[in-house]
Amino acid sequence: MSISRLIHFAGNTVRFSADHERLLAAVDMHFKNCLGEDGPIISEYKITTLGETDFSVSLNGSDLFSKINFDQLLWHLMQDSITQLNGTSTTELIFHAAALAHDDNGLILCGQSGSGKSSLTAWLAANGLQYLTDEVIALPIHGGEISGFCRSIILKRGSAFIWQRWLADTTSDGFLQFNDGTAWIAPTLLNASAVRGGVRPRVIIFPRYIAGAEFQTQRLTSAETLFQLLQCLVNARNFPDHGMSAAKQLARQVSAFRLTYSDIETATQWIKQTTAE
Amino acid sequence: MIVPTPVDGFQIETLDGEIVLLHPTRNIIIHSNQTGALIWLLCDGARTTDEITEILSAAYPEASAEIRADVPAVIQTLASRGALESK
Repeated sequence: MSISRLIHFAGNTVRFSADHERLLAAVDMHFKNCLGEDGPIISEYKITTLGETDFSVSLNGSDLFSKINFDQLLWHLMQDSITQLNGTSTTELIFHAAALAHDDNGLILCGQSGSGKSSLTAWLAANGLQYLTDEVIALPIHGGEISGFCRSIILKRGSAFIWQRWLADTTSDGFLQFNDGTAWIAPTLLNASAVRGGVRPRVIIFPRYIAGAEFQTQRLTSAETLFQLLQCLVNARNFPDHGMSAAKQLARQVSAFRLTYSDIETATQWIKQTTAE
Repeated sequence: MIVPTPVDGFQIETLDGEIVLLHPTRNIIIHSNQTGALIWLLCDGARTTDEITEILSAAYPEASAEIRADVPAVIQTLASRGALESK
């Protein structure tokens, strides 16, 4: 019998329907903090089990995959559901960014893939900051608190040192490692009180990991911050002004820095000090 | 004689004297510092590069040498990024 799971973000919802217990358990674990309905259901994924290891997937009634394995299915659901939810929101600006909270101070880590934001996010969560997301944040068009797509933290193989350092038990259901070395980590494995729903943004950091680089920070002007933010804005086309006014308001209200680092511990200490001020 | 002219379709936001230019359909985003913002604002499609240089040099005579270097450089940068065209 098919069972549904609803996943929400930024005022929209997607539905997964499946009859595979292990899949549903993985969804429950790694989408734990985004489960439930919040806004209209914009996409429906129907997953059918084929034999013991393969699946077919349809999206909104159209066949998508005729045969994929469990790992491919999980990755697809994770990536495609985020894309669907990101592109639809007309009430919130969606930025490709990670976010955490240090007490009541919201920290945004904004950067493209490879900038080190997921590694920093995991390390900061393990060091006491509360986790909102490692992938996308939502900011209401009229300002206010940011929220995050609060999935499990995804670390690539090159960041294995993080879970090797901070996870005592990698046999937990909250830790899922794929054949390519990528790991999905439930944030509560890093910090029991790690998860947070929303927070006022106070600091934005644009991190850049460069092996062997000296630790450097540079305070950004509001215009430089806006310039950087616009490059991380995912759903600009949904707004008449392309999100400029809301992004400008955000740029004005935060302290923003460019951060170049190679040592994650040094970067973490500086970030914690900066967000506490 | 070069007359730098703003390309149509850019949204402009000014923050503390600096500017951010966004061309949504061509997916161009440009940031200019205060000097660049000033030069951009003087590019009205009528003034030549030399005239813009003269205006700024008269207004800031102590920085005349820098202005003579900056104006063509900034105009060249804005043009290479698609925000200005020559007429």
